Amino acid sequence: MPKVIIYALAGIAVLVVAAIALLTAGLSAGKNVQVGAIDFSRLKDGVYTGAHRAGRWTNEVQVKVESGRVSDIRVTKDVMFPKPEWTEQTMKSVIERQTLQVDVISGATVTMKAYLKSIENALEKAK
Amino acid sequence: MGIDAGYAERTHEGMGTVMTHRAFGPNARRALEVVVWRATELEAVMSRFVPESEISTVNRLAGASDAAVGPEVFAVLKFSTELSRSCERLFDVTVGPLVDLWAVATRQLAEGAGSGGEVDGAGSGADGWHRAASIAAIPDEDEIRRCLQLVDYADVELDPLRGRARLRRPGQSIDLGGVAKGYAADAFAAELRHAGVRSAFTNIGGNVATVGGRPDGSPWQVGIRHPRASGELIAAVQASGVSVVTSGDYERFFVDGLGVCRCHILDPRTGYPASSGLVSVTVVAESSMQADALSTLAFVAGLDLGITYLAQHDIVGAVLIDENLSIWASRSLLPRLVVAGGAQVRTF
Repeated sequence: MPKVIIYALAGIAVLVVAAIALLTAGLSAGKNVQVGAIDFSRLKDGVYTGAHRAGRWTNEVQVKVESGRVSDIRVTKDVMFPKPEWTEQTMKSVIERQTLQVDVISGATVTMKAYLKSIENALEKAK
Repeated sequence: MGIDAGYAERTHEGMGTVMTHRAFGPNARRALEVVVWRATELEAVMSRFVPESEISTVNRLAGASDAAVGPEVFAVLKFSTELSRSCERLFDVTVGPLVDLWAVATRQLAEGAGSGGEVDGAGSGADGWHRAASIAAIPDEDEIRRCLQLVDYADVELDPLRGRARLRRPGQSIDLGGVAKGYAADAFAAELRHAGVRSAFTNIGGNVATVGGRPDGSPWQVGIRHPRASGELIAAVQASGVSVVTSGDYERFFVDGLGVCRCHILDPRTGYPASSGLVSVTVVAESSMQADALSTLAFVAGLDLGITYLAQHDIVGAVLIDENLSIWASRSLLPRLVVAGGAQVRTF
């Protein structure tokens, strides 16, 4: 086999390995990333930058907090192969999830009462 | 004021429901002791299920003579009758006989179903709970008509000089369910402020009143329960120093013999449970008593009429949800309102 072809194949192999290394760097780490619960109830106003470094999934976002609430999230450095619809949905869901982080619920305690009654009824049986 | 400067929370039963109060500040613990004591005190004068209460005495002497009422009961009666006068009987504190009539029907249902419960009248939300969804016989039409004739706020005579109240006709009775919790929330907030607490909320069976914002100064986040998805929220309102009260047809309802789902809020014009097309009304106002009464009033009135009446009052705003789960919110409330799932909000 001519040396040229051997060099070419070797070169391709190196490129493939490098590409695989590049594309999968951060994959195993990414799979194991633990995203903690965000306490939306204690946010201070301001614009904050957050980054996550994991190969081609490395990205950076800017989060705006107004009146104690996340009002906007912008991706300042996106992942290598972004999917805009996923990005948009993810950011939207974070903003919407704030609604579940409330201090107190209006119009809810009838349920509490009903639960108390059920507990009472259960305890009656336990006598 | 930091969180570490003092924090206290109390949850207890009272006024026919469960109350939770949370306060921050150096005097928080002591302030909540006063609040719990005030809850007992107010129930003792305002509940018609406490035989010696001022309201029970007025009801017992209906058609015969007047009875002494303290300044607090007097203030609630005055507010209620003035509101009734302005809203064509969409709200009426003399709804007691109707509440009793429907309560008997649902109690029979509840006993039959092995559960328990009561129905509350228009303006009546305090006494009793109900979540049985079984078949019940609705009260006899003649009985409803007879009770309806006894419902008339104009028969409440108030004598401010002597501090006395009277019901003109025998059989009439006052039910403060739709205002008493609101009045209590205002009273609790006043006690907390008086004690130097600058950050607190009180939640009386879903009537939420806030004192200031959170300890860090940001507003409290008050969730509005989803009227059809149990355990979920449909929206959240930011509240600082205001009250957020929701009247809804969820939870306390029953299905009558015709298979019609009846909610616990009675329409004082018809004598039947309200069916205005609204499933939830939240009112945000500085006065919790006002928010309490207006949320019930708008619930009974329905969307168009409800919006008309709400516009006549000095409130922060309101959120009305119809049976298609469309959300209607006052423009004034939009900066403080977040809806779940990105649902569309129509404004008025």
